[in-house]
Amino acid sequence: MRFLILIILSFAVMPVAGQENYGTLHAERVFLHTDRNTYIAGEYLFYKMYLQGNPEKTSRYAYLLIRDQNNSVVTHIRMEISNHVSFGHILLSDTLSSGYYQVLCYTNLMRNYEENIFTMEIAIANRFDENLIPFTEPAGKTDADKTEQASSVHKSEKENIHIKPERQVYNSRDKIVFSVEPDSPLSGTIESLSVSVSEIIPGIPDDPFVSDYFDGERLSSSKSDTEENRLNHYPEYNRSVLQGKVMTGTTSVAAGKKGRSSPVKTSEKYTVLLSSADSAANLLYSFTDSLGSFCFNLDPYYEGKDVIIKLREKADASIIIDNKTSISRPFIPSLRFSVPGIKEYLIRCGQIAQVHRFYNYRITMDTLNTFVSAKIIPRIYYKHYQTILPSDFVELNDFTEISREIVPGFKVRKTRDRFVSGYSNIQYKADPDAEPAIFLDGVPIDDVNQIIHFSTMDIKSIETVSAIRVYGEMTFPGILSVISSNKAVDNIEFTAPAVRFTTLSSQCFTRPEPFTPASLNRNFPDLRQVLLWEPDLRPDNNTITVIECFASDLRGLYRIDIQGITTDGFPLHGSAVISIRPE
Amino acid sequence: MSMKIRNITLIVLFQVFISGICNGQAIIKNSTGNNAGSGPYISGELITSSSFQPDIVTYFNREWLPGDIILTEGGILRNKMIRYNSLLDELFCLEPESGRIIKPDKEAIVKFHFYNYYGDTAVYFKKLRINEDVSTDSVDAFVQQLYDGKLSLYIRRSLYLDHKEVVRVNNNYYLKDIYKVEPVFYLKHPVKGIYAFKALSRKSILALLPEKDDQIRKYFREAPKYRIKSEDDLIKLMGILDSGN
Repeated sequence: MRFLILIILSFAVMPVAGQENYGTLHAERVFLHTDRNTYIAGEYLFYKMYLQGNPEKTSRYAYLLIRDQNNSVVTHIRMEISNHVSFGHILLSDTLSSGYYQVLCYTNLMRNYEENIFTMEIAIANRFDENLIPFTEPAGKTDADKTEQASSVHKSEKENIHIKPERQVYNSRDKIVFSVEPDSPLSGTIESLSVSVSEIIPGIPDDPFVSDYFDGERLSSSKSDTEENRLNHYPEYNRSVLQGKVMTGTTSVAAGKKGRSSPVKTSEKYTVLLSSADSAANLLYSFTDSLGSFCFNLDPYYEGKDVIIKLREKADASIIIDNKTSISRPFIPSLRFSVPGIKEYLIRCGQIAQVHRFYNYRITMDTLNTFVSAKIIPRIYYKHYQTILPSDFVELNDFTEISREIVPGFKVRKTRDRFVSGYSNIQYKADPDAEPAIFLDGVPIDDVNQIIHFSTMDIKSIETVSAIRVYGEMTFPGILSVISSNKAVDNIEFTAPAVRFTTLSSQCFTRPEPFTPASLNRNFPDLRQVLLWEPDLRPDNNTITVIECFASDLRGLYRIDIQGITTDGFPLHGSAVISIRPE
Repeated sequence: MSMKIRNITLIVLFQVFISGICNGQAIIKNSTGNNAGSGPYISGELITSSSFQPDIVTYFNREWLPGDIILTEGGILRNKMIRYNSLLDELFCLEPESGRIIKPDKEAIVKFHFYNYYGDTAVYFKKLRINEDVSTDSVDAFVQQLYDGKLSLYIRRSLYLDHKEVVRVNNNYYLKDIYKVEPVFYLKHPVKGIYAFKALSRKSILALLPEKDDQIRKYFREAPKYRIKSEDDLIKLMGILDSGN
């Protein structure tokens, strides 16, 4: 028995050598509030995203994607999170076919636990689709059932924001006034609220509330170091993460033929280079681990750019980049929109969209914050020794001639069937087999053979750095940077494994400009179904806030829906129903 | 007894074996995160043994000292072994593991500082665009930051070759370079820009900051012993002038 205890104790105190302490990693959750849940293809979807996690360290980016019933992503964006919230709009392409779509919202960290990903079902109808086949209406439902199902007009028990409309019934084009205040004193101040006043579709169940997701309490589930070590997707606390894997064996990734490829063996470690076409040689690098995985914390300069990711070494391998829109859990429509009268409603929505087009009614966007990528280039060198402009010289036919005639110190010679290059002044200081790093339009290429056919007409400028250069852990026996006249790097075929990839940039913080009667011609019809979308309301000191908007000409029931969070991450939600009748 | 020792030995051996496995696994699992390519990277020239090595007396710190380098791109290279050469106005970096010496590109550096410069924890250097001579263009130079506020004071400890002396070492004679320090102070005014001055006198301070005339006169009147004899006196005066802004 004592022997057994001794063994158990020895395991308990045994340090797990080699592990680095990352600190505790808190789980994250997001909630997405949208202006409504049914759309016509070609309209904007307005959103407000709330993030709950560790208040001191939360993800900086979140992703919103919309996919159809076939799990094909129809659109996706990256959101920048500021003070736990983000808001903006996404255009639903007018070529979308009618059907059920799923809106997903998540941070990269949440991709490790797909069950935590926020999902919401929306219905999109194409205004040219008269049949609306995906929207089946249950047979045998009576008007009484319809009334029973109209849970939309009921209030949720979790509501903690009190909305008090000035009156319950409004005439068309009346000013709607309502006040908003917390039901009970809050633990913190209100961080941000989002307000939607939109038409109610009878029979459709309520959309999720922020309190359903955030549950009134801060997330206590946290992931320890050891659990983090199992993460496949890394958190994006400061910078965007780009992950990937090097697979041995020739594989056509685009064609999806993954059968013959396998991750790199333990002994094979590669250097992965990332750069973007620019007038300055730029570079990020990473090393593959024993599983062939690599990861870049992207410099802001690379955001929203076409980047080239390649291996420094020549190898029979392929690079697979982690696709952040790839979610393995399939979308199975709940058919929540299959209620009596849905087709009629969607056809009416389509007709309204048609009328809006006819009267040239457009939503004007108000951009509150833009996120531009950094202008500072991560240069591989700052000091170059010489700049050569080939246009100053007589025309030379190939790079062998160019190097011999106008690039001092840079020698190109032919060995068997290939060309090799080097700087004569450092040839005895560096590895005799190593060649200088050659950059074409700011991107590292394999060797001089890829530009050997370049004549002076193809080259705008050449910069030489004839010294042994150090860049982080990498060493180069000199650098030659060639800027082509016609962005030749786009047509370069790399012999080393390489992929081209477009990184995402953050969406701006936008909201629709509030509607005013003056903005609409008095003789034009006002057929707005969303009377107000205010994504970022910040009341002063939790006091009563008065909100105003204007009724449209569409009679019916409208829901005032308010979602929000406090500075402590406590969810806030409130709703009220008003009706509009024709004058 | 021997049974007990054998059991303990078995447990220890088992522990060693398991910890070895755990170690390997942890490296595999952690490596992606640890190897994340993000920069900032030091970009510079490798100083090889055959390259030019400046005279040791021309260095601001003759020994390699740990410090931070703040880069133009916004990144910070932390805890690097650095040495500043006053003659060349260049910073050098040592990679302790490989013993390599790197001269980072000056254009890539905004500032650097030593964690502990022989007991002084506040030795900061900043790159400043200065005009050394009326006949030459402005150049970027590293200057030591003496005071940082609305008014900032910097010093550049320029070295110049004064003369050569014949020195005898091991029965061999050779010419030794003798350098002299010629400090130049730079006062950065928030509106008027940068002034350079060599002499530390009340007169020169008054000439540079005529709007602070009252404060300067009061300072010298009330504390006559506070003559500007040293850099510390100047820093003290800067503090008074800056707080009076």
